Amino acid sequence: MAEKKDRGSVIVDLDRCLACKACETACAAAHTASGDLLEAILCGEAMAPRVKVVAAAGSAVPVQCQHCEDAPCVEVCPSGALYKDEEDGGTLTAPEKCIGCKNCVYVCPFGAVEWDEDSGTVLKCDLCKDIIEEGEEPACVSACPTRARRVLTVKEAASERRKAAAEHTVAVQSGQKEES
Amino acid sequence: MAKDKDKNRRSSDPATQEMMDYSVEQDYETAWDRYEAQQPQCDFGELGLCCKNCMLGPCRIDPFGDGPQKGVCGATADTIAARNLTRHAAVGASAHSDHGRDIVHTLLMAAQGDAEGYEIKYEEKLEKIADEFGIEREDKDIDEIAREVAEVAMADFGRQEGELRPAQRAPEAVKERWREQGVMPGGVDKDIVRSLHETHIGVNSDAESLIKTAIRASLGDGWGGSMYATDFTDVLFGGPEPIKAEANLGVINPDAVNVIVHGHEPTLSEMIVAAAQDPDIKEKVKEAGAEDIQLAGICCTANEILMRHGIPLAGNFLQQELALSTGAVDGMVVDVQCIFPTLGELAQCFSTRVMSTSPKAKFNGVEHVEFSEEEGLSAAKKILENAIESFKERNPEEARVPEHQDDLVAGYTVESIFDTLGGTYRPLFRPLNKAIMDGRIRGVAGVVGCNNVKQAHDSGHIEMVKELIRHDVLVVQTGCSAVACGKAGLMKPEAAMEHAGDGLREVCEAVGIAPVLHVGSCVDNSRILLACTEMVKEGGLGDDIASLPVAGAAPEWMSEKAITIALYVASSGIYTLCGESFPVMGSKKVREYLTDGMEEDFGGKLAFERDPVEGAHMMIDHIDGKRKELKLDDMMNEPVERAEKVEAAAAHSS
Repeated sequence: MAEKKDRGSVIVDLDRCLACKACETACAAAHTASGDLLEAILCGEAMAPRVKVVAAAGSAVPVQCQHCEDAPCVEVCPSGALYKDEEDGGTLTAPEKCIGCKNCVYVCPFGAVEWDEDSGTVLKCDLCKDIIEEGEEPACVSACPTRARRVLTVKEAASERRKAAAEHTVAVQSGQKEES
Repeated sequence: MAKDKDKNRRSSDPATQEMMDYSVEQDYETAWDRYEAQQPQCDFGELGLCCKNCMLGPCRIDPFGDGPQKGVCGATADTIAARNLTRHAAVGASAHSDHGRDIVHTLLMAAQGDAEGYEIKYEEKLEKIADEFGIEREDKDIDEIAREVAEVAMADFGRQEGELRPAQRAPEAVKERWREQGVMPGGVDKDIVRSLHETHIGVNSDAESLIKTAIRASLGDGWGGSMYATDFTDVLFGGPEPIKAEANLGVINPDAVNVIVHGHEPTLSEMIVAAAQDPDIKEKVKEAGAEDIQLAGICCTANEILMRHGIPLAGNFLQQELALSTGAVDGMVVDVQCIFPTLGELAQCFSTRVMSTSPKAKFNGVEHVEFSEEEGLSAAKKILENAIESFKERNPEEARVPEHQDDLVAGYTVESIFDTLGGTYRPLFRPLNKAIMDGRIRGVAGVVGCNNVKQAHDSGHIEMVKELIRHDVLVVQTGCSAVACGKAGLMKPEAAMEHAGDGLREVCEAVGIAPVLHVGSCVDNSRILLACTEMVKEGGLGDDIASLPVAGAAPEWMSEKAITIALYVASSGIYTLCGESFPVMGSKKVREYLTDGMEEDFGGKLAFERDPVEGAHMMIDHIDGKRKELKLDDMMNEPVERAEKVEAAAAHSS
């Protein structure tokens, strides 16, 4: 089996999130027929964001699908409406297969799958698969005015963390030297 | 238990807590629910870094420095924050000044005999103003004088040249500074329009000069629009005198026809008070089987009829929905400002009739009974008749009125404050200045403003005021802040015994006043400006408002009017503390000018602090600094311990 390509995930720097909810509107618009917010409003098209900015203890935390390796939503889906993308491991939906049991909604540890009354199916982040395939960033990422949202592969994320940890270590050490 | 904690975090007022629980039980929506639903709120708006003044935008400035630092037009964070602030100030000034204009207009109509039910009740004040304006009084009857005064005042709104008339009342040093800084107000309307013009795309981009424009419009409110509102409300409806009343939702009487006036302009609420005395109305109340007609108020129109008639206060801004939730309110009559657009929807749960009255403010699902000064009394009677009708439909078993209420004394004005002393002191400010100079009273603080769901309702006002009076600072109050402390029992003379420092208590007992004085509605902040002017005139505390040991605060502010007030108070020379920050913090330049640079130009400046006890001490430190500059005696009595820091009472969900 060929190795899966890591499309990356949306990583959020919480210190930079200002709760403007531009990610929410961009996400909702990206998932309309025209992909345009104004057009969708004028056409009366229903819109729903797949990312939600949630308030927690005074902070704003954008929450969305983490595209888990062992995705509980895929596990519990009896009809194959939720599945793993073989190519890159993303967790995707096939709305036409959804029978509306809502098991995925109940088991998602992030509350990132939502039942949509209007369309009779579940909605979740698809990491803007179409957009990404064209080499662009997901809509929520390009809409973020403070660059709090970025797409990183898990390797990139770990590498950034390592670098930050190393810099921190040096800073602590030089601080100790100065003190002594 | 967790629920109790949550409740305390939302309000410190027992009646509010009780009705909040009841609202949850009954599934009545309140502002606190909507606040919760709005979380998280956008920090670009909070920081003042969002501009939608033109359709090159909307634009946002990245506060972290690595995103865009200019809007499409090139406006920086400084320009955008300053322009936004200027717009807010212009709106606040408009609200107060349009209210002021209505009062002047009513005076004019009353003088011409065109306003049903209105008359001139305070001739002495009118004559004083006529003399001040240089209007010849000889051989003229009072109506003729009133007409001329009203015309002169009206012209001040549209003044194109020269300086605003009532602003001339300020001490010379203050006026000199305003002229130097180019902010001496001219026409009330003109300065507001100028503010709006300057914020159009491609006009003023210099932050400091924009702020000064905002200050000019704000001064035109405090020393113009609002001051006229206060003056002519006194002339039309009488100068307030100390008067006893009660406050909080407990004043709603389950056996009476309850009518709540909510909003701001006394032209309406005064007529409701008059109509309630009408024999026809009284007869109809009896026929309906009610004990009586119980009037009560919310927001500043409540303060107006409290000050002049002792009509009880039902509550302040955040209690407007809770008053309806009692199910015992038969009529709620609203006019302008601070009225939730949801009242009509909530009222559908009860027999309550909410009635809008102003052509300026209509609400979904609310019946409109247009109020005009020409037929003021008739409109007021119609409103009361509607309330009597809905009383008949009220289900007494479904009513839930909390018992909480407290006594207060209101009705203090520049004219009436030391009136009680009589003799040689009357009506001079000598006793106050002397008590300050002797170190009995540390200084004076004006604590005013709104309620804000971001803080525990009322708690900001009450904790700050208690800490101030404990440290011998005499407190004067207006608006929803006054209502908060009235409900908390701080405005009755006994409060001096319980809460005031020794020096302040001695003075309160000698004069027979409470340590916290109710001086009226939010336009009556102009009374505080004039009281400061009187203190300067009295002598011994410097020749400038900026030299007085005084401070101002708006611990729970939320409205644009509060921004305008803070600006005119600070630019009149008074240190002014705001409980919530201004939406400008994303601009270092604007932030630093308001909290620092402004002092050099205006003698006063702003400070921002959410903790009310910490805020009180910032004010006390400022007052002590001024005492030192004036080389006043040390305070007579031993210093008292500082109260524990109040945990910043944000109602954020946790």
